Amino acid sequence: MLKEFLTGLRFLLADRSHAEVDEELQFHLKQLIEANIQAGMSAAEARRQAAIAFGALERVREECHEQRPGYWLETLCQDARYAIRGFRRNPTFSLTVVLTFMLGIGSTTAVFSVVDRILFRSLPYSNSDRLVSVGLIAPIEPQEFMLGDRTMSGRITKSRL
Amino acid sequence: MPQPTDLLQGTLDVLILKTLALEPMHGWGIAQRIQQVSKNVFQIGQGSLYPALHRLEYKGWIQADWGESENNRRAKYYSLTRTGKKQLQAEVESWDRLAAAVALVLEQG
Repeated sequence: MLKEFLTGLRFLLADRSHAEVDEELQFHLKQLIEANIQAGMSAAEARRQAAIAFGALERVREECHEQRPGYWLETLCQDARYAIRGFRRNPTFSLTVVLTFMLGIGSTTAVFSVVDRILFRSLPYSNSDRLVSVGLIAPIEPQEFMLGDRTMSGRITKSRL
Repeated sequence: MPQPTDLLQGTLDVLILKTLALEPMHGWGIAQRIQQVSKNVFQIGQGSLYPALHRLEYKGWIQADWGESENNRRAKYYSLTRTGKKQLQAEVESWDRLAAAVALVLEQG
């Protein structure tokens, strides 16, 4: 496991050159031509058939390159560079994006920091579950216990007179 | 030209490892050897061979050294590393398990 990681790291730092891959593939192609000649083809035909069988050289080269350990990092960097170029080309859009993110992240953080304290965290006292709240509960509606009786309303009418 | 069949993913790796367990070889030699031993069932195109070789090398299972080929050309010779040997053993075992399981299912009834 560690050894595989180290090997990967070694190849990540020192990549093989394209020329090396090319030489390897060229060797294969030459062997193919030779085999075709031995099978009785003319030199030109052997070359032609080998080229057909070999297919697109560039594709093989690409695929070899894609195998290297840091390949995903390479594409990631490319994507990032592409995105940054896009942002620079359209500053209004990028500013809107940045502002949206700022507001979004800011408000979420603010709300969460309050909600977290109130709902999720336990109170900063020992035995906080035994904490009780003592107080009077009074009705908000002031008229609730007003009983309109006759003497009272009689008095009001008198004083008005 | 025979119809190309999809090899089970990873099968080519174990074939390469096994071929290299016998002696160090260059890419061309590996393809030829596998083709001969499999009685032309496996025809390995360079499109899959070289990416596989490089992948195995990056994993540290095989290593590459430049050498002289039979006809005095510079060629890249691949050989199995110690981790590669262990890997080959593990892959052969898991292949045996897989093949036996598939055979069991196919032969039922």
